[in-house]
Amino acid sequence: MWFGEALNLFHGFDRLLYDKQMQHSYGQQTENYSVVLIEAASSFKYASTKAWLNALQQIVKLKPRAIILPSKPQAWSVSDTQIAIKQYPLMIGESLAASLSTSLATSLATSLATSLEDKSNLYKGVTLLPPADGLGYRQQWLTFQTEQKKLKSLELMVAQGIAGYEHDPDQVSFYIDFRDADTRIPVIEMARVQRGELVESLIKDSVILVGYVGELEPNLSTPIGAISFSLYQAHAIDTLLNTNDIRHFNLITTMVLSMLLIICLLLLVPRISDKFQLVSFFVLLVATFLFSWFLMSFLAIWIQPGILLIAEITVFVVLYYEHNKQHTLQLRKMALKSVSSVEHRWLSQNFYASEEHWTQIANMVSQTLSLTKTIFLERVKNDHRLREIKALNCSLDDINELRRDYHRRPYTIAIEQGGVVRLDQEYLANSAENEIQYLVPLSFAGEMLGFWALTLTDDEQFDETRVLYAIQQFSYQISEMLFHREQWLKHQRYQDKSWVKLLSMQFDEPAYTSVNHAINFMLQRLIVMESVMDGMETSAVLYDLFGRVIQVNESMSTTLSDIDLAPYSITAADLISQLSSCELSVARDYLSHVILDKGAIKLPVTHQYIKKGFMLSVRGLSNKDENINDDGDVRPFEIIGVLCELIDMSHISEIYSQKEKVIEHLSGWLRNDLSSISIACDLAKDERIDVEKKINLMNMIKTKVDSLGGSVERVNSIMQSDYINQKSAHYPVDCHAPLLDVIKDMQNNQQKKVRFETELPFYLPLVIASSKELKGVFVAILKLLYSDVMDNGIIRVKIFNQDSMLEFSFSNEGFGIPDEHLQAYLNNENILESDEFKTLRIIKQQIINWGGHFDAYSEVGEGMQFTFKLQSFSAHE
Amino acid sequence: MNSLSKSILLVEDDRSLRDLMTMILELEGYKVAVAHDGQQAIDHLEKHEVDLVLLDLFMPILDGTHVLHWIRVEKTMETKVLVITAMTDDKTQSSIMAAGANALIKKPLDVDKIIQSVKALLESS
Repeated sequence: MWFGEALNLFHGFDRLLYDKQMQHSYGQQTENYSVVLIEAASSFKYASTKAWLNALQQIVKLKPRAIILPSKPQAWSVSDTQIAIKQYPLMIGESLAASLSTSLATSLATSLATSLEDKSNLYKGVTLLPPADGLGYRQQWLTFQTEQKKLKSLELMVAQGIAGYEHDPDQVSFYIDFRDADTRIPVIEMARVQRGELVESLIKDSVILVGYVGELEPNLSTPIGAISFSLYQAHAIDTLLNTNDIRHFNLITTMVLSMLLIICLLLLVPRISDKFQLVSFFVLLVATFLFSWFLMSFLAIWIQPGILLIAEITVFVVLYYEHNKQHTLQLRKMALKSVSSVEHRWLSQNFYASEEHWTQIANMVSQTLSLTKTIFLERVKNDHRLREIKALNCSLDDINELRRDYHRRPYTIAIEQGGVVRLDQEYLANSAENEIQYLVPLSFAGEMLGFWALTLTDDEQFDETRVLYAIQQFSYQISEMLFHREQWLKHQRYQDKSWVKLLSMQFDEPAYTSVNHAINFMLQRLIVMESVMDGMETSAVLYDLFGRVIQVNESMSTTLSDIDLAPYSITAADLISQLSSCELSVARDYLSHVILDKGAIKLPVTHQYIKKGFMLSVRGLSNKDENINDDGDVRPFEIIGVLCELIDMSHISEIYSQKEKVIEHLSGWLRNDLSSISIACDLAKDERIDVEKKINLMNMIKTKVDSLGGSVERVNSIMQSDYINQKSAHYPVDCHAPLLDVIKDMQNNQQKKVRFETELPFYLPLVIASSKELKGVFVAILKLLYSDVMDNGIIRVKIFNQDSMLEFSFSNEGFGIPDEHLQAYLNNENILESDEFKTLRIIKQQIINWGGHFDAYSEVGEGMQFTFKLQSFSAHE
Repeated sequence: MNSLSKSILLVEDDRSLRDLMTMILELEGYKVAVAHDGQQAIDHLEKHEVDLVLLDLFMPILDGTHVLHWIRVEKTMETKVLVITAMTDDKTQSSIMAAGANALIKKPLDVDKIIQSVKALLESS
């Protein structure tokens, strides 16, 4: 930059600023010396001596300080000039050419001699065009060095003659003060002078410059616009008389100043935040500009702000670029670290980007379908050949067909079929006799992508229809995946082309691409985690230690919303307190235990609107990964959050409830048997009983003791089983409570006005069934009856306890259907019917599986009746 | 009161217990009729008068609570009812007493408990 300054590279910008500031700065208001310009037409140079003397007479009358003529009037002889100099306070300049001529030297000598006699009249220096300064004129000569001699300018001579201006011998030019130019120099036409229309106050004690205007006179481009040379001279004389010449900083001073500003920027930019950097920079620019304006306005000093501004802009741009470059590098590094961490820890390789996409397809197929052998063939690009890619349970060389041309059989057959085709000829070698070979085309959107050759073993479990359907569906999916992968690769190749990058201004992979990748990875992972959390059977909400919800799953949201609790507006302590009906202080104690002791608590949920059998589990999630704290966020007690889960224990509760009922029944049987043994023992001692009866009593005691042992053993085996979770198994279960629950639910949720009439024994035996499915049986039957019943109708439920069976009767007063239809629905699988009847057919089979019996009857206009019997549970098998 | 003039209806589904209790009561001089479920008991009571009904609660067809309800509510009979039950919880016992049972004996039974309870009930009249 300094080189640039030394080479005047920034001069143009600085001159522009100079001109602008000159136009808009205030000048020094001095009344000491004022210059008045009298403009005469160019032709007036040739006016008669009389005309000149008349004009001079008019001016002198008003007592000017001096009258300056840039050159001697043409009509004046030397003697005229001498007379004029004697009579008037004249100062006359000469053009450079005239000054250098011999005659001038003579006349100068003469004039000088004359002027020495009269100190008020001095003959002065040369009049010449100012030095060019860029594309305009801003300076005037003080002296002019010719080959022969050093000449003083008219302006300098005037200033020295009138104001005693002290001239620095080394200074050859000076900057004219154009500030307030519009008001500084009054301009009067010579015609007004000749007519005697001058105003004394304007002329008196002023320096009068007589100049010429006309087509042949030069016009100069200045900071205040194009002006005549005479006006330019007037400003120059005015500047020198008032010693208002504009002082410029020299190169060294400018460089020191620019150095200071650069140091300021270097210290400032890295220490302020990004969003204030630009503002601070503009403040510095404006400050520099204002400082410059201040110096120009009040001290007439030009500090060359253009250079300083360019220095500031250059340094700031470099710093800003470097600063952002560092940011970008840091961001990219961070993004790559995140991506690497995410990919390494969580994500499987992307199918589109992976070179091993066929392996992924093979893995998908092998883990889902039971295929004996599989070979995938891929179409060779821009060719009708195929190449084998991946083989499972066989070798790639096992393909007998050598042409690999999909324009030939057997490929053409598969393409014509558009799906799985069974091959008659041997396509894969080394196949067993019972292996059946198939070929599947892999095509999508009319594009042939490859083939899938496979074999299936025809054994007892072989269900060709089902397997081929699955293979067909898989082939569609694989084809679509391959097609989209190919499209994606095409797009990537297009994006990677240099000219595309050039046109889209992507010269380098920007940081945001890396960040975007990282965010996409994280988003994908987050979606998976949210899906996992929502898919959990337990309701869960994760709070941080500040009481804010980090994550809540759908199940928990629904559960809490059902009981008018908003997880986002309550803390973990509130949740514990509400769900377990404990005091808030107790809930806080629980949380303290979880946080401080890293413990876990499990509390029964006792909220009145949550069904029984739920447990609230509260535990802290520890921060096991130190990298998680990279963001600088605080993790009090190294705990990420407190996880509150609602665990459905109702099935366990149900197990114990069922087992308790079995125990109750066992207790009854034991009491009966013990009663029999006790009474028999007492009677055996009774003397009133004969021997034969006593023998019978003893036998009965023995039988009862054996039976007692058998009952205890059977019940013991039931106690040890987890029969509630075993769908297919059937054990003694209580039917009373689930039936009443179903009826109650239907009564509470019914839209029709239906009356439920129940006739149930006070004591019901346990029945042999599956606990999980028995309630479903009641629901299905009652739903069907409900859908058929008339408004204000009745649904009747009766249970009869017979010797070894419990009979359930469900009927309604409904519309009914023809009985043959009902029987057909119950027995014929192919008939079209509603889901309710399909369910009915399933439950009929279940009841039969439990050793029961199922009957159904319906009559149009009367309604429906379903009766089924289940075995009662007895201690004795 | 002479026990020979007293008739008892024994309602019990467990055959062994029914036979043994019949034996005890007959040894004590009571006339004993038996029913092995609630329906048989009602059928018998509709045809015969008895002084005491020894009633087991948990039975097939019709359980003891139905029989008790039939006796007290439907027929408003004042026949004494001694309920035999294996249910030991207080709630069941109080509900049985509230339903009209005169007394209640809990299983397991023994001879003395049966005889004393029966005698106490019959003598109280």
